Amino acid sequence: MSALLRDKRLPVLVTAILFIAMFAGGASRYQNQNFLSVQVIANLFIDNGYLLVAAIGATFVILTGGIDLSVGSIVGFTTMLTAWLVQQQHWPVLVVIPLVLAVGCLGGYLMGYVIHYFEIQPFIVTLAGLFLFRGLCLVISKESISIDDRTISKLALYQVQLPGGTFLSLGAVTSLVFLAAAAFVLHYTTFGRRVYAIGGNEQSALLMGVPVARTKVAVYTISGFCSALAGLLFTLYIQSGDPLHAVGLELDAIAAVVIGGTLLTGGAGYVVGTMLGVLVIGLIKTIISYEGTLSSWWIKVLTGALLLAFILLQRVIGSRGRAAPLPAR
Amino acid sequence: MNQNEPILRMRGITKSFGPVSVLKGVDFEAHLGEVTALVGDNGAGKSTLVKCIGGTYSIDAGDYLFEGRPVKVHGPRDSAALGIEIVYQDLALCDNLDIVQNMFLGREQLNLVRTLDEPSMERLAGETLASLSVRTVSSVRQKVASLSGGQRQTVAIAKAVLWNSKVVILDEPTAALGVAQTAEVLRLVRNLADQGLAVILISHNMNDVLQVSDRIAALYLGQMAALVKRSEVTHTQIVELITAGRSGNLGLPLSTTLSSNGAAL
Repeated sequence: MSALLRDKRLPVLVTAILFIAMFAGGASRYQNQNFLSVQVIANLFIDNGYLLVAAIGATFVILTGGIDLSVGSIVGFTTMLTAWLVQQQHWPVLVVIPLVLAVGCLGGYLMGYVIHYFEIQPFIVTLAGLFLFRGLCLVISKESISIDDRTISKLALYQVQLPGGTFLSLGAVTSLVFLAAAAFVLHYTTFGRRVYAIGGNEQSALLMGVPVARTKVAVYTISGFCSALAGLLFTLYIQSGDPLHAVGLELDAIAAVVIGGTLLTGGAGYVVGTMLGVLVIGLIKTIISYEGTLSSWWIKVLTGALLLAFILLQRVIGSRGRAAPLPAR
Repeated sequence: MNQNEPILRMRGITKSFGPVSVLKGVDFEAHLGEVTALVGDNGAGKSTLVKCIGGTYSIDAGDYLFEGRPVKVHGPRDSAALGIEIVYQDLALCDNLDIVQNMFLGREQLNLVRTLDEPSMERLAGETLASLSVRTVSSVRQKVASLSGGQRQTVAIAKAVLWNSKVVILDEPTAALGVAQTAEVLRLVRNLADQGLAVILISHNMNDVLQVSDRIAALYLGQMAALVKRSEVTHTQIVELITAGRSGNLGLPLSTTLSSNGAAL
């Protein structure tokens, strides 16, 4: 029992069980409304693919013990920049996509650089990023820009057929491919190992020869890239740019990461857990919409309650895990 | 005076932090197959000297000779490339990683497709622990957080050995350990030297120092009071060297504190 409690995979397992329980609950409550189908799960990815990508970026940052508050703003800025360039400047979509991704990377790189080399709290630096990118949205336009470009519409409506009549959107497929890539990087490459080491103990990692500077800057760059990619997926999902798109998305992303079992102090967690966290948050939305009579604010209430429960769970597991004596400090 | 050429030799090392002169012309050496204890009171400059050897601090003046050749060491990677490993007291390992991950951190082995070669790393880690006759660790996939203080030191030392290091520097390896664990770690320290490595042991514990070391280097206020063979000094003399910088005809001359090295080289 104590071995189970000490296992770092336990929070992920708990999230998985929670997801299955919620899904089973929904299936029994909404039997007549065809809740029990693969398409309901596929829809979770279709409706939350952008959140999944943003949360994967947040997972990298949180694994190193940092935080990135600029996610929502970069997503919003990406939707605005994409809409403005495609709709009003008539740039080809194939040029705009790499451009906005590069902008996201650059933003993340600059924040990572400042955080590491000027030794400023990530919270403050990325808070500055939050305001900066949100402000830049309004510099482009105060009005929302809807996109009727044919390429964008085609991409947005493209369906990937799965066996059994289920389908996924391009955004959902992108997020899943990205999830697999992130899991691979974290567990099978030197870079991933370094991310965990820095989250465990940055000072030790440095003394053991881990290139801490390069790794930390790279992690924030990845987060910036993820935000921009999430912004592109969000643009496809909603087919418009708006200066107020994705306000507070960074908090949803962080909530998903924590519900997925990643420690906010860094060093422990899995992207698969993050996916489960996103699915749980998505499933809350789905169930509320199936319920029909409940206000959408219940999504926030339930997410908050879950977040609290999971932080308490981490606390319990954390204290059990440290049963072995520590050397004097 | 020495039977063999020292593998590591520091000559006339000075190091200041602003107006504070921490090392004032320190001479130091370590030999293969020997344990050299580095002793001294708090503030004597032990940590600074070790960080100069490890490259964390650059030296202001003096010679750094490795295998008889002068070398320049600008960072931890340079000293690691020479074959010098430092095991820090409480910063040696990352708690959230397992033993194998810790032992290979910063120098992971990759397979043909440039991804982590876990089976090979796991095998090498197991072999290294076995070569040091370590039996206290049940699985190399245990998280370091679940290990006892002695086991942690064992893993940290094994990590140093894994890289075929020539010089291993141990910073207070027994400071937080119980009696049995201390004995285990000291056995390991002796084992390293017997395998032909040069071991530098920093310790406050006179019993440990007398038990395992072949040579003793005593620092006193940034100067090397004495670098003597273990067999030539007594417990009392070492304590006097540490606290007063001199003992009988050993140590720094009474009249001056500027002399760089008093005796016994």
